[in-house]
Formats: sequence, structure tokens, C-alpha cells
Amino acid sequence: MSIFSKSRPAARQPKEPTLKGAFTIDARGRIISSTVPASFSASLQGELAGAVLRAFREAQAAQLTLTELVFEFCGLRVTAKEMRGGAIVFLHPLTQESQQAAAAPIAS
Amino acid sequence: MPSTHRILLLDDDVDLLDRYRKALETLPTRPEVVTCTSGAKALALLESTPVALMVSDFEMPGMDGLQVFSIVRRRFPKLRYVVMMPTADPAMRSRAYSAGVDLVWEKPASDEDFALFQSCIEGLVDNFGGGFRGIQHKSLVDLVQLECLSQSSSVLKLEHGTNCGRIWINSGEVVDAEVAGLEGEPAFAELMRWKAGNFEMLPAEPERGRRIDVSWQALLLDSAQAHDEQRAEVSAYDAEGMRAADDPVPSRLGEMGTTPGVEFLLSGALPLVSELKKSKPAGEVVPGSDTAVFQWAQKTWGSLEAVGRKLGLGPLRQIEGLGLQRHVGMSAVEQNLVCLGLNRSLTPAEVREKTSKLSAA
Repeated sequence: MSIFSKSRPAARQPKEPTLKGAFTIDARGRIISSTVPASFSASLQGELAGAVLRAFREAQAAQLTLTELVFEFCGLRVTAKEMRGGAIVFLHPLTQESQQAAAAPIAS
Repeated sequence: MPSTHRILLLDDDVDLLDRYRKALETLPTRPEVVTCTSGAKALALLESTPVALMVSDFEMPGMDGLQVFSIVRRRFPKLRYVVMMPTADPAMRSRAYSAGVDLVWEKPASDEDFALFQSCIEGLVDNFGGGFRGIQHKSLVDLVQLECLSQSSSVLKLEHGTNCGRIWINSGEVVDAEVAGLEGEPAFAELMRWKAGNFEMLPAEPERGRRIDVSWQALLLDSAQAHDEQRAEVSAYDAEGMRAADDPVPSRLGEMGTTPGVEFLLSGALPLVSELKKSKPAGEVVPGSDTAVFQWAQKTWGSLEAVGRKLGLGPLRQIEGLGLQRHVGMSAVEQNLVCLGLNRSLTPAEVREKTSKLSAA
């Protein structure tokens, strides 16, 4: 019985995470290159880039020199690596499996 | 027709919309069902027509179900919102619940599924304004109390960070609980420590064996007592909103502060975005001091959380920072931000593991 199901076959397929890729930013916060889908607009990338650079700089000011920052949101992990005042930012969608793998204890 | 009995259906598939409308109109409360084929039309209709409940498709061209929800929640905070997912996608479901959706439902594929769906919608409409157990608005104590007082049978599936637990309720009595290797009363006590998270109501399991013999009232009383003790500990923190690892901290955080690899543990109030701009200039604190590090932690957390909200990424869970002198890990624990200073010898995976443990503390 499929009367209440959508007839579009594509809608029954598991939805692939779309926010995935990487972009680089220079020391002024400008996007230099990007492999992030167009759905994640340049202005939104700019917002994230600004926050990343601020975090690195303010950490430096607090004498906490960081080379990498990882922010984990509900469905997305953002990894930012410092590069000569700029940064390269990786976006990794978080699936149930990846979260469980990350939560698994590490063998000592 | 009172607005409490009006349902708005939103789906880009006209045939499906019609079938849902006909089915929901037969509910015992006889709700008036209005339909829209796009988010923009639905928002325009809501401006002129009071609606109690909105049922929206998730996948639609233009605005998807969650984008519509983000606008609806701001403009009509009392409106109940149900999202229909085409498939059972745990990540999307988690994202929807985190955003504050009242119910996420996989599109019914059988008569049985649809009967359950109808029953649930009927419950939402019938209980509007009467204190329906909203996902985001009730504490766990309220939920358990509601289930028990109404003599219900159900399984509460609870998620808090990466942890997952269950409470079995049969005929208004709490019969069992499980979480992180614990079972029975200790598991129930552990779950009641959780102050936030997501929950799902699963079908009852009447055959579940009984491992909790005390009444639900006694269980909740014990939990309230434990909660009061915990609050007394919290109130002992210093007034500046920050404490060092030497000061009294909840036992679990205290244990975390003494584990190998942890150099310091700082904790204080979560920053409010409105307060970020008013933070003290960096010149007033000594660079490298605990205060400087914690101010950076608060500012960074607030700033990234604001960006995440703007980008629709859901709540910020944790931040890990890898440094030359030391690593840091941050997580929100109840209403506090906790920042761990970690030895630089720890690997990134170990930093992640220790930071993840904070949210479970």
C-alpha cells in the first residue's frame, strides 16, 4: 500500500549530505578558492571565514597559539587549519555512522 | 471554526496533499484542513488565517520544510509543526528536532503507519493549548510525570550529545531504564541528570521485564533531591562566572580535571551573543592567564554559535583547538561553557574524545 507515499522515486532515496568541500581564505578573510557547492553561498562562506580568522587571532592574543580548530555543529564538522594568517576550511557532513565512530572509545 | 482545530498542510505534490486532506478531515475532532503547495503561500496564509498545526513536507522546491519552519517559529511561536520526511534519515531527524520541530514523521507507507500518524495528529490538535508534551518545552521530569499520570505505556528514547538512553513506561509505571551500560534505577537517575537533548516517543513494549520496583513518584522525588544537591554545588562557584579546577566543581567535571593529559579545567556561564560586544578589552587581562584563555573561549563559542545559527547548522556541540603549546577542548555543559586545557602530547582523536566526554559529564 503506497497511497500515502510520494510517487517520485527520487524522494525515496536517502538524501546525500550536500554541504561538503573545502575553501581557502587569505589573511584578509577573502575566499581564494572553494570546492563547496554553490548552495553554500560566498557570503555565507565569508561569515564562517571571518569567525574562523577571528578565533585564530584572538587565541594568539591570549597566548594560545593554535594551528587547527574543529567546530562541531549538529550535522556538520568544520575543520580549519591556520595557514600564514589565512586558513583552509574543510566541511564534513556528520552522519549517524560518523558520529558513532567518533564517539567510539580509543584503544590505549 | 476555531483556530485550535485548523490544520495547514504543505506539500508540493497536489495529489498527495488532497489525499492527506481527505484523511485528516475524518479525524474525531473534525479539523478544518487547508492546503498550500509552497512555503511562500503557506506563510502568506498564516498571516491571515489562524492555524493550530502545520504539517509540512520536508523536500520541496524553493524553501524546504525546515526553512519554512525557521520563519514560522519566529512569526508564530505557538504553532505546532510536524515535518514529514520521505525516508528515515536519523541525521535529518536530529537536525529537525534540534531546530525545535514538534514532531518528525516518516511518510506513512501502509495503512497501519497512517493510522498511527492520524492518531498522533489528532492528539496534537486535541491537546492544543492544554499542555501537550512539546519536545522543546518540557523537562524530562514533566514528560515522565505526564506519561505516568495518564497511565500511558510508551518508551522514551532520549538523546543527549552522543549518549542515548531509554525509559520504559507501562500502564503509568516506570518499569525499566537503560543508558551507557547502566540499567534499572541507576540508569533512570542518570537520565534524569540530563537537562537538555532530544527525545522520541516509541511504541510501548508491554513485554519488557520490570527492573525498577519503586513507584514513579519515589523515583522523581529522588531525582529532585539529587537535582537540588547539584544546584547547591553549582551555586558555590565564584561570582565572576569563571572558576579554576581547584574550586568546587560537579564531581564528574572534577574527575575530568584530574585525568591524565588534562592541564586545566575552566568553567563559566555560556556567553550571550548580546554580551559579546560588551566584553572587556583584552588589555585588562594578562595574556596567557586563565582569564584570558577563558575569555577567548567564551567569545569564540558565542561567535561560532551565532554563525552556525545564521547558517542553519544547528546548535554548536563542541570546539577542539590544536596548539603548539597545548590543545584545548570546549563544550556546553548544561548552562555553562567548560574549557579543557590539554597536554600537547595528546593526539587529535584523544582531544576529541576528552572534549566529547565533557558534554556527557
